[in-house]
Order: sequence, then structure tokens, then C-alpha cells
Amino acid sequence: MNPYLTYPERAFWRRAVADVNMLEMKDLWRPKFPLPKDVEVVTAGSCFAQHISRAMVSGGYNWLDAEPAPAFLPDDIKRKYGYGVFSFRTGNIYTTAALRQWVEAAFGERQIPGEYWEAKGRIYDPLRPAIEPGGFACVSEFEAHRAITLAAIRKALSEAGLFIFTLGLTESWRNSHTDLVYAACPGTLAGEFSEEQHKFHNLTHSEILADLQSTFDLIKKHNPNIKFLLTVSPVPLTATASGNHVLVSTVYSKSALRGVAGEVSLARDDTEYFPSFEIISSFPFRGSFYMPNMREVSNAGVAHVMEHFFAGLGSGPMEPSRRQLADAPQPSADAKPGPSDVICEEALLEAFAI
Amino acid sequence: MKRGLIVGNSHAAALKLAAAEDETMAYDTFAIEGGGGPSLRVENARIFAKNPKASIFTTVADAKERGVLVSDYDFVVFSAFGIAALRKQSPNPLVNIQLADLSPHLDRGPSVSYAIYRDCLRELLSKYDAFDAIHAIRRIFSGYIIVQQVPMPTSGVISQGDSPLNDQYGSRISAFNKWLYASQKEIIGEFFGKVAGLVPVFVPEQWIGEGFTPGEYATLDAWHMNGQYGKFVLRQVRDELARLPPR
Repeated sequence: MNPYLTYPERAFWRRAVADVNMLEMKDLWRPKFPLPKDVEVVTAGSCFAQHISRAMVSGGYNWLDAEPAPAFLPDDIKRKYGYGVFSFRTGNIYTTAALRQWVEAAFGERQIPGEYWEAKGRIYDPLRPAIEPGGFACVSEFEAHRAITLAAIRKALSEAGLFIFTLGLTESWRNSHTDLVYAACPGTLAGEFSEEQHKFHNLTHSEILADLQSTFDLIKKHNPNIKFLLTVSPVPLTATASGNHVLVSTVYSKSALRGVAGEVSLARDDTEYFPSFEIISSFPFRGSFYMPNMREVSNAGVAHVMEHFFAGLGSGPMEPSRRQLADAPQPSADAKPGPSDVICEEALLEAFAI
Repeated sequence: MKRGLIVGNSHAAALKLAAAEDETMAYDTFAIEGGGGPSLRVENARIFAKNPKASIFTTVADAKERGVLVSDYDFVVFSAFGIAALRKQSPNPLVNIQLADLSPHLDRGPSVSYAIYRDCLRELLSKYDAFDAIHAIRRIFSGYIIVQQVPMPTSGVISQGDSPLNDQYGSRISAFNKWLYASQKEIIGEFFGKVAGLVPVFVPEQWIGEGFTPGEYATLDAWHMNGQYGKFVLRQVRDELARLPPR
């Protein structure tokens, strides 16, 4: 007698993976806490997290939009200005350092330096340069909107029952003097790069762990009942500043993020990990959920992930949504994002690399 | 003497008053109530109120039943295009948003950037009955259609009880108006400025710069102007027609 004799099929590679069609793999995720549909859910993170926001809404979950757009605006204009993409208008939050910065500022634990970027008389927020595609009209407007978003983050995280955060990158750019963490490398989306003012930093496992633990502890201080759900984006890096090959850098980033997500979810009863990264990128799926550029995730892949997500929550298969997503037009490898595509500032790096 | 047809909503009243005293042109008026502009139906080159129960104010005999044959006129004055009034009781959704940069009240509905507000404005104006009405007339009429920008309110709007502007902007109402009407001017230019036969005429730069129409033009409320204002607009119309080649 040994413990393995008592384990279910899902614990054994042959029966759970090798002998099963990849599309018929099941029971990939068993959350440690329930998620009733009436729980208010907040989402943030990298561009892959946008799929989760959408799926939560279409799945009938109570997704909290703490910074809503004017109701009468058409969807394409809402998305142009970053409304309805996440629970607040931060744009993509790629790193845990950026998340920590936003959350600490929202709860008054940190003063964010008043740095802004200027181009052609317009003002850009270095924490979310794409949120106003044409920039703000003036510094006071930029400041007012920063305050609005910080208030929205504070409200959302104080009220929500679940915060879903998708970990995206480890590579980040900072101000050499103030340590302000930027959303993107200065000079890509906006701003001007300066070797003296800007420095590259690749977050380590221990830094990511410290960022997450500290951020979650701070949120719990203001909302003791909140729970956390971590995912790791399966989308590879567009470009790396690490000096390594981009494939090697991607594997480092994703490994570190996956490791921390696992460690945090093991250490905290209030934190769960959902394996979107594994479902898309692990080798039994043979890269079949990636587009030809091996970076973008296909609509079918997103649907596949979300099917496992809802199955784990006990919501049953989401066949209609899966069909809708799978039937939707697929972007080509070099297609420009359309109104319904995810907003991925990082992809702009590619354009600047040409 | 050239004959003009004034088509519009309540803002046409000022022009109608002025037209009665105009000795250079002969005018008729066809006005239908509606903040978004007149909602028109076109049939056999005639314009009718789309809603048969709408209140029509006109100098054209039997217009309610027979409509108005636009080709009877040399030109059309459309009065007026733009946000007719921001009132608390109005269904205008713009009363529920505010410019973050000018309003200290960041918790009263979406507080948006100038760029977003402008997109909201453009979106809303493109769906106004007035927008459709102007294009509907253009399809059946080959003469010039002069499109009047909606008047700015006078400073009386500050004390007007049904205005949300006080709550939203306090002492910065004039700054808001200045921006709102400058933006509407731009949008009207984008919509109609390069369309053959359409000729926008605008609120003077000086008034936009001050944020209010001078008080001498006010009527009972701050949004609607008097015959003096109408004279000013008809002068703009006359000047444009004198400048433009015949159509």
C-alpha cells in the first residue's frame, strides 16, 4: 500500500494526459474556494487578462467596473480609451512591481512621482501611456485622471470579493532616480528614452514574491474578505532587453511568474492559481492554441482556457461562448488590432523594432 | 428678392423674429420642437414633421398637412445645430458626464478627458435628428443650406435652476462653455464644412472666448436668443450668400 494507489486519474500522466485527446483533458483545475456568481470580481493584469474580464461578463459573473465609461459611447470608443477592459482604467499592468505601485498609491501608502511625458504639446501618463491615445490636454487633466483611477482602484479593491490578477512580464523599465515603474519602455508608446534617466530591471523570483505578498496584504488590510486568483499569461515576450535570446527570456519570465504564483497560492489560503499558462503553452497542447507568430493566442485557445476556468468553478461548459469565440475571425500574424481585439501595448514594441 | 426657408427647432424663433424685419430677403419658417433638432420626413421633395403629433411652428400655409416644398426657396437656413441646452431634466446624456479638468466633483458620474468628451459630443451630434434633417434636405435641394451653430447661453445660465453646470463646474462654467462651443464649432466644421452646398456659420470667436453670449441677446432663459441675435445670424447668412458662387 502506498498513497499513489488512492489518487484519482488526474494525478497520473498516462491516464490524465498521454491517453487523452488534448481537447478532452478534464479536471485541470479545482479551486480551493468557491466563486458564487454574485461575488464582485475585479480583474487586472497583462493583455491576456482582458480575455478573463470579457469571459466573466459573458459567463454571468458579477464583474466590477469601477471606472465606467459614459454609457452612451459606442464600444469601440470605450475601448479606445481603455474603458471596460479591466475594472479600472490602468491599461495593462504587466509586472507585480507596477501592480504594487498602483495599489500602494491607491491606498495612500505611496506617493507616485509627478512625472509625465510630453509629446507635441500633449501629456502622457507614464503608468498608462496608451489610455488616452492622443494624450491629455494639459498636466492638470492628467493629474485629475490619475486621481480618478486611483479612487477607482481603491473602491474596487475595497468592495470586491475576488481580485483576479494575470501576471505578464518580469522585465520592466524604471526611472533611475525616483524608481517610478513605467508601463512600457520610455520612447515606445510615448516619452523619450534617456540612458541617464531610465533603467532596465528584470524582476527576480524573490522580488515578484515580495511585491505580490505586500500588495495582497495591503488589500486585505482594507478588505479582509477579499480573495485572490492568480493566472500567468501564456503570451511570450514581444522583445527582451535582457541581452538574452527572446525565447530564453520568455521562459525565464514565465517560469519565475509561474513559480511565484504557485508559491503564493500554496502559502495563502486566500489565494488560488488558475493554470491558463499551462493550458495554452504546455507541450501536450503542441502550441496549437497559438497563432502562426507563436505569440498571440487564438480565439479557440482563449475559449479553451475559459472553458476550463468555468468548469473548475462548477459553472459547466460554456459551449455557446466557446463556439462564438472559435467562430470569430482570427487575426493574422501581423494584423493590426481591431476594436474587439485585446489591447496590448507591449505589441507596439514590435512596431518600434522595425 | 431671394427667398429663404428657416428650418429648425426652438432656436429658429430668434431668426423668425429677425426675418420679419429683414428687408433684403424674404423668409418662411418651419420649426418643430426638439432639443436634438427637427425630426423630419421627406416625401416628394417636401419636408414634413416625422412625428405627426409634433408641435409645428410655421409661416407656410398648410405645412402641417402638405409639408414644405423646399425647391420653392433659393436657400435654407438650418437653425440650429449643436447641443441646444444642457438641462437637468433633459434626456441629453451629456448632463451626466463632466470634464475632469474643470470639475472638482470626480464622483458625480464619469469624469472624462477633453478628448473623450469631444468623442462623446461628436457621437451624440452625429445621432441628432438635426444631423439627419440637414442631410435629408440636402438630398432634395440643390441650393445652399446655411447651418447655424447653436447659440451659446448667456451668463444667465449660472443662476438658471435647471442647469447642471453650476453643480458641475461652479465658477468655471465660462471655461467649460468656451471649450464646449469651440469643440462644437470644430465638429460642425468636420461634419458640414467640406460638403458641397452646406455652409456652416458659427458663434463669433469673441463670444466663444468669453464663454457666454452677451446678455443683451437673452430671452426668458439663457439658452434661447432674441430677435437681435436673429438679426446677427441673418447678417451672417447674407454675407455668406454674397460671398458664395451661385448654385
